[in-house]
Order: sequence, then C-alpha cells, then structure tokens
Amino acid sequence: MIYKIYLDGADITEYVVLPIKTANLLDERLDEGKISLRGYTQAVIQPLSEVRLVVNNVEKTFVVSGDAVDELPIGSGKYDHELSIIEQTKVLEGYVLDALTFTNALAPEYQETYAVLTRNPIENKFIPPDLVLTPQKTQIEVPAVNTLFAFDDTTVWRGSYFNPSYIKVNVTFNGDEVYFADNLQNDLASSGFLLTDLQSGLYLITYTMSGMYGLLESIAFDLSFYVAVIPQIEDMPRWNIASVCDRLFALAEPRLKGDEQKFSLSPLIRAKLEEIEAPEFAFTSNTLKDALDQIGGYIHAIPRLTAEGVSFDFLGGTEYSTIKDKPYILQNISQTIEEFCSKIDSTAENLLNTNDDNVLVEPQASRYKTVRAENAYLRIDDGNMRIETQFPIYEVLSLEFADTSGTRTRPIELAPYVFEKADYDRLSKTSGAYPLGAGFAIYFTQGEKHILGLNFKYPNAWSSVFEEYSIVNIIRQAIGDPSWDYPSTDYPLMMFRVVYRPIFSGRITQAKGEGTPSRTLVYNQSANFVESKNYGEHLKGVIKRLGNVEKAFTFLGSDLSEIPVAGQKYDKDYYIAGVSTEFMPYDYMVTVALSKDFNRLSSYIGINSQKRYFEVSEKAVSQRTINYCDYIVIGFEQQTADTSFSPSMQWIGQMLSGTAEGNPIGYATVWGEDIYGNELTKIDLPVVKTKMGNAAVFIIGYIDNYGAGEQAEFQQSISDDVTGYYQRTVPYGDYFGRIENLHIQFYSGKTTETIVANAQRAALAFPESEDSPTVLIAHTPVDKPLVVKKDGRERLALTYQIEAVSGNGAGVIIFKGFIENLPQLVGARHNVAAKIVLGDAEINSFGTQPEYLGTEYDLSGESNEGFVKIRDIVATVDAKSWCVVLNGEPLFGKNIDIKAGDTVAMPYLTRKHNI
Amino acid sequence: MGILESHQYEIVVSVKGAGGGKAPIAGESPGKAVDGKSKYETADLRKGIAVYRAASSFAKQLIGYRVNTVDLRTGAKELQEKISFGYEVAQSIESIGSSVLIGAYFGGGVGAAVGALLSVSHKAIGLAQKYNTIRLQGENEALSLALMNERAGGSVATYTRSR
Repeated sequence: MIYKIYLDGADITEYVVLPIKTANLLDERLDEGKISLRGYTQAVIQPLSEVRLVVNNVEKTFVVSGDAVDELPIGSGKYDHELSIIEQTKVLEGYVLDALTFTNALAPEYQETYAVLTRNPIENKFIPPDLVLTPQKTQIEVPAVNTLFAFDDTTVWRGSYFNPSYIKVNVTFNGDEVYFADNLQNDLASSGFLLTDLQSGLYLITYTMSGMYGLLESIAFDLSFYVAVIPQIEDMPRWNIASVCDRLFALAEPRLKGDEQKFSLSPLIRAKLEEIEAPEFAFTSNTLKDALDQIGGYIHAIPRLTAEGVSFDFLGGTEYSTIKDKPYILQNISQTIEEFCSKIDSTAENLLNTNDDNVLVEPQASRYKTVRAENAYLRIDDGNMRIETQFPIYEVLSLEFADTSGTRTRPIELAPYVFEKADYDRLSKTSGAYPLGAGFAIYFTQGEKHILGLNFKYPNAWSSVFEEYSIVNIIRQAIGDPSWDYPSTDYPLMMFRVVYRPIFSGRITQAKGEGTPSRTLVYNQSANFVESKNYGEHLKGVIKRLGNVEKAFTFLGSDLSEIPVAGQKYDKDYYIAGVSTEFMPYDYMVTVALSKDFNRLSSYIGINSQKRYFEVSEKAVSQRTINYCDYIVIGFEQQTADTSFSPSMQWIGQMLSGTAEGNPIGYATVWGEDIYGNELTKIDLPVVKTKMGNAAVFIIGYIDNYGAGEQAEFQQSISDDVTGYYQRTVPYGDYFGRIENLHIQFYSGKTTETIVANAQRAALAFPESEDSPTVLIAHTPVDKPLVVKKDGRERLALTYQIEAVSGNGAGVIIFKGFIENLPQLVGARHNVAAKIVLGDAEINSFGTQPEYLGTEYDLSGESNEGFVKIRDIVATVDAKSWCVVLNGEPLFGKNIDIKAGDTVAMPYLTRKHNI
Repeated sequence: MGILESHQYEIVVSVKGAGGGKAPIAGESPGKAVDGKSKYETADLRKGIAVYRAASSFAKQLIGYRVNTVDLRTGAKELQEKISFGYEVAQSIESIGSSVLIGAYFGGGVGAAVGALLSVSHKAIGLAQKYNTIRLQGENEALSLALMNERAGGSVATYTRSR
C-alpha cells in the first residue's frame, strides 16, 4: 500500500510509522484518527494544522486535534509525536454565529372576500358576495345596479316590482369623489363600468336610487360597498435547506460586502437540498457546526466539511456493504443496561399539531356548548359571556353557532369572523363593517384560552340600544338576514362548537415491542412549540435505537474499496455505525461497529413555523447582536491596512502628538439596503461607548425586529377636524423586515450649543436621520456595507470594536492607557504630546503598571489613513525596555535590552480587520 | 320568553290635596299679578306644579329602582340598557311635558312652545354633540389604525384569508 502524509502541505511521510488508525463514525461524532511521527524536527504542531492522508491515491483531509510530544533522544532536537487527527468538519465548531432566525414571508396573496356594507332593502338581502375587497387588480369592475338584485331581468324593473325614477352612482377614494353619474334609470347597464388607475386605499361605491315599490309605495335608498386596493408586494422565495445553509455561511464571519466568505455549500448536494423546504429555524448563538447539526437533524443527515464545501451524509440509506461477505477474524458483542429498555416515558409541554387534520372539536362533533362566564360560580350574562375552550388556542379552524331561535336546522359557520388579538386590535372600535370593524369580529389570543369579544358594541350617539352585540352582527351577516334577532335575556343560551388547534401538554410512552423485559427510561425534550407529529417520530426513533445489542466484526483486507462507509447497511437490521481502520504496510485491519436500527429520526421537534399575523412578526422577536471587530496592530513590519471601516489612523497620530480635536463618537447614522440594493430609512442611533480590555467598544441597537424607535408625525383626518402628532414606529427594514446590507456611520457627539434651524423638524422625526452637523469619524465605505442579511424576526444590534493587539511576534505590551486615550472613545483628552521613555526595569507582561519611569525622548513620526509610524530613536542610556507614555500614562511598550547608542526600533500602528 | 313579556310594571301614585285646600296665607286679600292672574291663582298653580313634582319625583324613584335593577335581577345587561333607555325617553317626554306645562302656566301658548323648544333643543344639541364626539373618536382612531396597519404590513386583517 502506498501512503503519503502531508502536514500543512509539507510531506512528512518519512517520519510516519505504521499503523495509521482512522475511524469513520455515523452519528454526530466526527471521524478521527491517530498518526505516529518519529524523529520529527518540529516540536510544536498547532491544533487545526491540516493533515492530508493519501492511501493508494485515495485522499482524506483531517486537522490536528491533539498532540503528545517526547524529545528523543533528550537534547537531540528530534521529537516523537502521537498526533490525534479529526475530520476537518471540526473547523466549523470554531465559528460562532449570531442568533439567527429564518422566517418565510406570509405570501400576501389577497383573495376576494365578502365585505358588503349595506343591504338591498327590497329583497332585504345583502349584496351578493362576489363584490369584494381587495384583490390585486388593475381595475375594479363596478357592476350595473340591476345585477345587485335577484330580479336581474331589466324588464322586471319596468314592471310593478320596482320602478326607479332616479339612479345615481358615485365613487369616492379615501373620501374624495372620483366618479359620478346620474339619471341612469333609463339605462341600467350604464351604471356598471370599469374603474381604472387604481391607487392604494379605500374606494366606496354607492348607488343612490328612488322610485316606486309596487304601485303605491315610494322608496329611496342607497346601496354601497367598499373595495380596498392593496399594493402588491413581490413575494419572497420560501426558505429551503440550501438557502438556509447559504445564509449561515454568508454570516459565519462578520464581513463587508465583497469580502471573501470562508465556507460554501458543496455543489454536489445543492440541488438535493434546494428541493427540501426548511422550517422556520431559529439558531441561538450556536457555532456553525451546531447550526448545521440542527439542519441535519431535520433532514436526517450529518454535516461534513469536504474539499468541495459543506455537504451532508444522509442517514437511513439502503446501500449494502460487501464486507459482510468476507470472513471476519473477530466478533465482539456488547450490551449495557443503561440504555436497555422496553419503553421510554416522556412528558412534553407546548405540544402542537400543525401537520394534519387531527384538530380538537369542542365540546364534541355532535354537541354544542353554551357560552360561559369568566369566573366560576358567576351568573352567566351577556356582559361576561365568552366561548370557552379547554386548551390554549393556536389557530381557530371553525366556529359553528347553533341557532335555535327559528327553524334553521344547520349550524352557522362563523370562523371568518374570528380574529387573532393582534389583528383584532387593528379593527375600528367606533364603526365599520366586516372585516374592518370590531363590531363584526370576535377574537382569541394565540396561546390563550377562549374566544372573546361577543358583546362588543359600537358607541352610539342616541343610545347603545341602537347597536347590536358583535355576535349578533356576525350571525346576521353570516346568514344574510339583517332582521335576525336574539332575545336579550337568552344570550346565556347561545350554543357554539369550536374546532381549533390546541396547545397542550402530555405524557407519552413508546414501547419497543414484545419480548423485552420491562424497563422504562425517562426521556424529555423541549422546544418553544413542539410539533406533536415530529415528536412522536422522534420518540419512535429513540426507542428503536436504544438498548440494542451492539456488534463489531473485524476483517483483514488489502483492497481499499472494500472498506465500508458508516451509514451503509450491514444486513437487514444493522447499520454500520463506525468503521475503524488500521493501515499497515501491506494491508489493513478494519473493525466494523454495527448498530441496530440506527437513526436520528426527527431530531428537529419544533413546529415548522409559528402562525403569525403581521408580515414582520409581532409574535416572536430574537435578539441578534453582530460583533464586528477591527484591530490596531502594533508591530515592527509595515503592513497594508485591510479595513476601511475603522477610523483613520491620523486620529491616533493626533493623539500621540497632542493635537487631537473634537468629541468622541456620539451617535451613529445607520441604514440598510434591501436585496435589490434599494436604500432603506436612515436612522440615527445613540452609541454606547465603553472600554473592554484592550478594546474600545461601540454598541448600537434598534428597539425591536421592526422599528428603530418612535417618531412624532403630524396627521390630519379627512375632515380636518382631528389633527395632531401621532406616534409612529419607524421601520428600519424592508416590507418583510429584512435587510441585506447595512451602512454605518459613526459621528462625533455635540459640537455646538446653537439650536440649528431644523431642530424642531429633526426632533419630531427622530430617530429618522436628518443631516448631521457633526463630524464623521468612522464609516463603512459606500460600496462595502456590512453584510447582515437580517431576518424579519431579528432585532438587530451591533457591537463595533477597535482592539489593540501586538503584531505577530512583535512582543509589544499594551497598557489600558492606550484604549482609554483613544480619541474615538474619549475625544481629545490631553493636549500634550506623547513621549518615548527608556526604562531600566522590565514591563510586566500584562501591562498593568500604573506608571513607567525612565529617560524621556520626544516622539515623532508620520501618519496617514492606514498607519502611524513612530520614528526610531537613538538611545542615550542603557535600558531594559521602552514605552510610549502620554501625560504620565503608559500606552504601549516592549521589553528589550538597549545599550546607549543603539537605534531603538519603534513600531507601526496599522489598522486591520484580518489578523 | 323575555322579561318584558313576563312582567308588568304598574306604579300608582296618589298625592292628596294637590291643588286644593285653603289659601296658604291667612287673611291676605287676593290681588292681581302683573299677567292678570290673581295672586292666589298663581300661588295655586305653583303649588300644583310643586305637588306634581313631588309625585313625579316619588314615582321616578320607584320606577328608577325597578328599572335600574333589571340587570341585577335577570342578568340581562342588554335588556337593562333597553329598559333604561325607554325610561330615559319617557322621562325626556315627561320633562318636555313638564316644560310645556310650566311654560303654559307662565307664558300661555307661547310659553309652552318656548318650554318645549328649550327642552327639545337641549336634547338635540346634546345628541349632536355626542354624535360629533363619536365621529371625532372615529377619525382619531382611523389615524392611529393607519399607522398600526403600516406596522402590520397590510390594511386588511388576516382572517379574511388574505395571507
């Protein structure tokens, strides 16, 4: 067998002694191995160093996970290493993600809906429900007046039934008349027309009619209905597993637009993952590996980092290994009582069934339940009546009312009038019909019991007796009979049947099957909402794999293609769960560990998405804090500045020369851009500044997942009778609450006491940004905003850090005084120049000395946008260290033996992002 | 069967001496008032109104008690509202009648008309103001709802199956 082993690209095969051991594992554990080196010249091999193992031209890449080293012989400078290696997927554990959510758009496909406001008095019926609310149309087909009646035949109109003497049609848009035609009584068809050039808003179409009803009765009435025109929002594609992975990789490291990202999805698996729709994942400060494991739990696969990118090994395959056909040299069987069980017992809360039609009918499919009161032992009356449910409601699917007041034998469906509280709060409480007014609505709150609001009444100038309870309005509209009435004393007798998805808790067991001695294990899992179907599958998988006989077979071979791969089937019961291979000079020995019914069924037990009512979720908010860090590298090599975000290094030059002016960072102007590159609302945010170790930290954040803050906006009602300043939440994302990239500008704080001309306007509009009168200190370049890919459920916050670090091998010790004097943090604190001091004592390595004494030298140098170079000095005294000191405070220094007459090298201070 | 159909309310008020009896001021000779009515006539009328008011007040107290306890006795709040409203209407009519009566006594036909007008006008103005208040509340609410709808991402509530 031919072996080649490379360490960080260098061929180390000559130092390797056989056997080389590897283990290929099926579950979340990563593949691993052992390699022994003898007489290697390098003492330290860092973790994460790349190891490429090539056996007969078959290559696999690992990283170093551990190393035990002995120098042999002593003092020879040659080292024996026992290298532990692990598959490179381990690298993914080193990247900490922001808390990320994935939310699908609500897909605003508006449908035509029954929204009639007046009734036809001749037939005492509402206008038929094909005249409607909403659809995204470019025109409204206003029907001819005669089509609103059952007696559509125009000859009848001329007969004795209704003989109109005057017909007028007018249309208003948000209260202003946009169409008018009258004297249409002789040409009924002309009362129908097309309304074009629609704008977003509410159109009210009114037919005014008068004439003779029969032979003797004169009648005059209006018919009217609303059409709400709603702007079309281009829908967003739903999340699939591939797009979820793409977003994770894009955000694995904070970066500016155009900067390279480290990971990507393997093109070999992309097409398969694009086919799988993703649930609305929420990852809470996971590592990239954790997040991918969760995705793997959903698709029943294990994530792997490969040469082509990140891929997934799917479990539950049906491919058989051929190793079973070879004679084995050893068989090992084991079983332990710890996992041995006949049953598992699980208590789960917040269970929810959103997958199928297994909904709750309350009280029963063939019965009804009357209304109930809020508290036990109370008399039930129309003041406290409510439709009671046994469980908290997730979603109402049906609400039937059994009408016993007449001859009706079928229940009346009222579900369209049941609103969730978030939407109910948006209904008018003073007037309006379905679906705009609370007088035609009842409601529930997601996660709470009962349907409420049955006894809501609009205010009435005369008396509330002229208004009906909302439940009466609803029933009248549902049955199309405005004369339907209900006795005032009989409300406690109202009967309903409600069909809903409940949120429930339960204790569930799953048995292994007959023939296992009785032993029950407790097994509990939790999530915000647990999908009962997923959880059932999960438990089914757990009980199948627990407590089985574990088998292992060992084989000898020389044909690499015969080595099985974890995940293949060994026989009809057992999967190959682990493959340990020892590579020897001429052959290999492979041990195959088998696991019966191995699975990770439904590791993802949450619901696919939480039903919500606002496009930018009002139900769930997740705090996401982005940490973006730039560095001031203090070293002795001239480097190229690779960040254009952090402040110009000229500020540091001014700090050292005592010429810094102005205030520190005071606030930030921040704005997003959507996926099309459109600029979103500019927001001014206050900046919290603090010092953390060797870093200056600047923190900004929005108030929630939708808004940046509340502004005061002047509003005026249609009649002009109501005016004033109304509070408006300023959105900072797009319609879906998303942001693709974020532009950030840090400005100095107050510069003047003068009240500027636009102060009033700016004060009302805040936090919406106005032109800044202060100085721009740091900003993302115009063409390189921060990549954020914000989701609708994420409340965005940003921690921007400027950290001072020693250059690679420079040995510079940084004192707290450096950050404490940073002009961006504290402004111009001193107007004295810094000094270089040569001291006869060493600096302690943590830079915690309060003062540093010695011989002072003037400091000079040059600075530009990218770096500051302090000029070297010629020592006039012997010293053990040097230090830059500002007004007595040590900033940074280095321990070095200095002789009088030596030229002492002084460092560069370079701004960088990648170190 | 509703409470109105199952119960009848009959309130009988009897006040002896209303408008009768001796002159209240002994020995005083009758004189003429400026409007041509004798002082006794005027005084008697005043007494009649006073007695009417006493009776009316007593009746109101009894009726009001029964009216205001409908909800407590039956648990029907809407019925309470309806009966209370009917009673208020009746009181208003009675109040107008009373104003007419007072106007008529003191001002004849013109006085009665003025009394009625004042009373009706008072009600009408109050009604118009209440109506206007509700309208203003509606407009104020509409402005807030428009901003709330902006937050919600649409002007039409969700259960219309719009999303």
